[in-house]
Amino acid sequence: MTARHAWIGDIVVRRQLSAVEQLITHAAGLGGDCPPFHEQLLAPESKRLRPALVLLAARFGSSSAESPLLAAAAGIELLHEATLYHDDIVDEAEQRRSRRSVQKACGPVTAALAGGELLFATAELFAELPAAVRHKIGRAGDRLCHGQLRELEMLGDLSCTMRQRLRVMRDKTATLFTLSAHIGTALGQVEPVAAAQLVRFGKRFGLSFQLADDLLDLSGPSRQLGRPPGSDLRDGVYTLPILHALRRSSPAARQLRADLAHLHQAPQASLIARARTLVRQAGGLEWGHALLTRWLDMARAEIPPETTINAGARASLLQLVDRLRTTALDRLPHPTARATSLRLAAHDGSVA
Amino acid sequence: MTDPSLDVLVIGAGPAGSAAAYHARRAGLRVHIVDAKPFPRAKTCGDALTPRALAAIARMDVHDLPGHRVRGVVVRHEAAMHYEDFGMHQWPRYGLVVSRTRMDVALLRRACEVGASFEVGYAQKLCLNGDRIIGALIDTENGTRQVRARHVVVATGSGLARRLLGPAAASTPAVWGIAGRTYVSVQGDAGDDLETYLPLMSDNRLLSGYGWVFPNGPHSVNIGVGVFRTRAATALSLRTLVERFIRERASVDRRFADVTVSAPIESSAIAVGPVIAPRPGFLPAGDLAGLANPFTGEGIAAALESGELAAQAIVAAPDDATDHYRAALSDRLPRHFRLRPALSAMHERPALLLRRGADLVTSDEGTVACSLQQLMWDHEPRPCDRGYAPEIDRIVALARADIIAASYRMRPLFGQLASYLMMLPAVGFGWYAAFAGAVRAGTGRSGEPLDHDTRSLLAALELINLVSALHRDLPVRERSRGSRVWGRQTLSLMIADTLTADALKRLYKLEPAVAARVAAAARGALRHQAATRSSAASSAPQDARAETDLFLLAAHVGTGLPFAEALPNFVHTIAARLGVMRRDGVVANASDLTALQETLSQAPDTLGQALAGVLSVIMQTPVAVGTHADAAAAMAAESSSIHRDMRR
Repeated sequence: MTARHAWIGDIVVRRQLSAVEQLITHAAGLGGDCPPFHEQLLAPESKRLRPALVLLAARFGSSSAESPLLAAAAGIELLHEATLYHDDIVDEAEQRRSRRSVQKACGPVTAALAGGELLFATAELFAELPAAVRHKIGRAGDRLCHGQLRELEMLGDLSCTMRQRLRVMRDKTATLFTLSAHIGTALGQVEPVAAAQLVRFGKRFGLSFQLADDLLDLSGPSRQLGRPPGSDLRDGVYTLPILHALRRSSPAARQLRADLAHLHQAPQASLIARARTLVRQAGGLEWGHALLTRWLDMARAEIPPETTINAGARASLLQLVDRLRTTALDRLPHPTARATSLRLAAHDGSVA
Repeated sequence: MTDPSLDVLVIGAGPAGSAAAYHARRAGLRVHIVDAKPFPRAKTCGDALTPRALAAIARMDVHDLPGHRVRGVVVRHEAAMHYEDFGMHQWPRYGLVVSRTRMDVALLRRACEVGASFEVGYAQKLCLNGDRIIGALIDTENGTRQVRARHVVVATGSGLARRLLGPAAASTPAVWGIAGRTYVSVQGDAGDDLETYLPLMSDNRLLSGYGWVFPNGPHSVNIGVGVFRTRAATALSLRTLVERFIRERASVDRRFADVTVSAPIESSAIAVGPVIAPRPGFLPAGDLAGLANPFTGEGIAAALESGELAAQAIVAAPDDATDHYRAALSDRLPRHFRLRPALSAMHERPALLLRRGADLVTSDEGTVACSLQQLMWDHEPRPCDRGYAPEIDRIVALARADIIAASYRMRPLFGQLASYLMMLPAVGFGWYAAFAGAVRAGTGRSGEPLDHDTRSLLAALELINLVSALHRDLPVRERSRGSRVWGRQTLSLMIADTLTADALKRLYKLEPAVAARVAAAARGALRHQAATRSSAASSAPQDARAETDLFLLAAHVGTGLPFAEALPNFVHTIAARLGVMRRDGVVANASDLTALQETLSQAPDTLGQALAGVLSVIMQTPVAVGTHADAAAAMAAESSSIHRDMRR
């Protein structure tokens, strides 16, 4: 049992995660040494959140068939990692979790091929799953592509709306968490009401995960990020807190709008730093902070009620939510006491 | 009061309409043309004809149009440049800048010379009989009457003509480019190249569009600006843009030093996207059918060709003209689709590339960029898999169509690119499908319908190859400004990922054992490529054999036998040879060829012939079925690598 799984209260899931780890290791090396282009797969810093969610969700059901579950959990993680290999090429990212990214270490061509390989490896792992689950996995793949494409297409577009950004967050990030819950509940034979709740938990948690990441990019110190701070501002990815700041009518907001237009054409470190400050001054962080709190509360609310079999899994899901809250929020400047009237109803992520 | 029965009523006497009328008339049909305006009449346009357009005009037997010859197109994007040399295009290998006033009247006159009738009339609406269009209501100075015809070709331009089309009009608005232009006299020589300039800026905002300078005489040019109507461009003043463009040119280009604007700035709109679909009795041509090039807005060549194809379809299949027309458009204009037109989506993407994909419009480095250039310049489709026997070609064509359709659903631009991608020799599209087709043909199964799963599996195999080819040829990162850009590398990755997602969906629908085997082979093939490029890794034997396995899977599909059943040795040998060719990118040498021919002789006659045919196309060299007399020579020359591959 590795330290990365220590937060999981359910001992069955902890054991299962070790088995999943072995499947991942095997996928990397296929019986031989792990090639340099897959070293990232085995990095101990990976939190394995998605496989954990697959396994935890299954714990809410009655099935004990483990082998397909473990394969599916490993598959989800490979799918996730494959998207990271390719994302890092697009972003020209040199670091991933404080190590060299695959594209930096092995070159973009190898990273592209290795990512492609992982994607087909997931098909091997998913091959034996029930048809309905496989169908969902296929559609999730489409959504991942859509999300990434849309985000790229919206770069630098100051007229993009919160709704559009939400859709990207849902497609690009929430998809894998939702899918993890789907797979876990299907294989675990969780009864329909609880299964639906867990899937909604996955979606809510996934959106929160992305929002936390977005907030961190705006305010976190660089060593925590593993990439230069303010990357979103520089690249023209207008996340929810930025969009909120832009809609204000304050001088900070106006200055921000002007700065962002320049930034996207000619990025400069000083402009980025100033833009970050402006987002804060225009209330973007505070609003984002409140939104994240609300979303995490909604996620918590979706965790099915306690029964005899799911106590450990329940506790683990609660831990998951709390850990995200801690990572994201405790390092942010404290929100002001002033209660901001938030039009959260419009942004509770209920985009179709 | 109705006219005596007409074969073709052509509504709109621009290039598309005149072409349709001319060709229909030459085939002996009775043709009547109406246009709301008397001719000659002016048209706001760039006035530039590509070689492809000139070839189409020549097929109307119109020669020596008065205009200014141009040798090619210079595309300038900031510091980067691309020269599109018309000398490398089709005959007549030059372009022409000619006023639309002159050109359009010359084409209409030609149609009338061969016997089409023309009248000035406004087509109010189409007349229906059930589902079929049977004519139109025409307003003339002599009153309104119904003109009936067996076929109606509508070529009324970008205006969408909702009133006219009624139920046939698209329910979503067309997607627009807007263009403004004027004529100026220049100092010195106007030049003999078409020139386009990117990017276009407006208030610090990057627009999707370009400025152009098209010389229309020794000392004068047509100068203008075309912009795709995106959110950013709605509040534009075209006039301001054109004036600013002229000033900008004046500041760096001596020709414009003392510019005299000879004419007012005029503007017009161009629809760039599939707008109207054909229906029984009704064939839309030209800009109305959304055939303008999504990058350049150029629509004359496509208009002329569509008119010609419409006429040919009417002649060849009077009862089925619209389906023939649709298929013909697909063949000649691979970038034209009638699948669920997602209009604004279609439009935004080329616009996006013009706005931010600097190197894409000026580079042809790498598979994707090369395809994009072919798409932009409307190169004639030239599939590299010509020469297959018809029943085999059919299988390959099905795989191609499936892939285009799937890519198009993700992004119309991707579908368009896919069709050119699959034509590149380096990609080697169709080998799996052809191999399967040959086995099918050779075992007498060509008559059997191709079931859905088989078709899907073959498409999946071809997708795997496309993905591998794209990743292997991932272009070098373009000049990075420290932020994410839409360049060759990004586009290549995005298309590859889209194709991968489609392949995976297909696999998920297959029987698990088969899916697992295909997935394992695909990952092995990709892993092999990654390993051989990674200095520290070496490729495992099972990965080196993966390509062979993909061919074996194709062969299995061809036999229709269960996948667990063993295939004859000679099939393994050929699959191995193809696998090595694909994996290492090598073509067979003379001794390999001899060995192959000997192997083929081990096959039953029909199968051997079918396989030999396919191998000839793949290897681009004649492959015949060998005789047993060649066996000795073959044994001596046989590549030992084939044996190594087969050893498990």
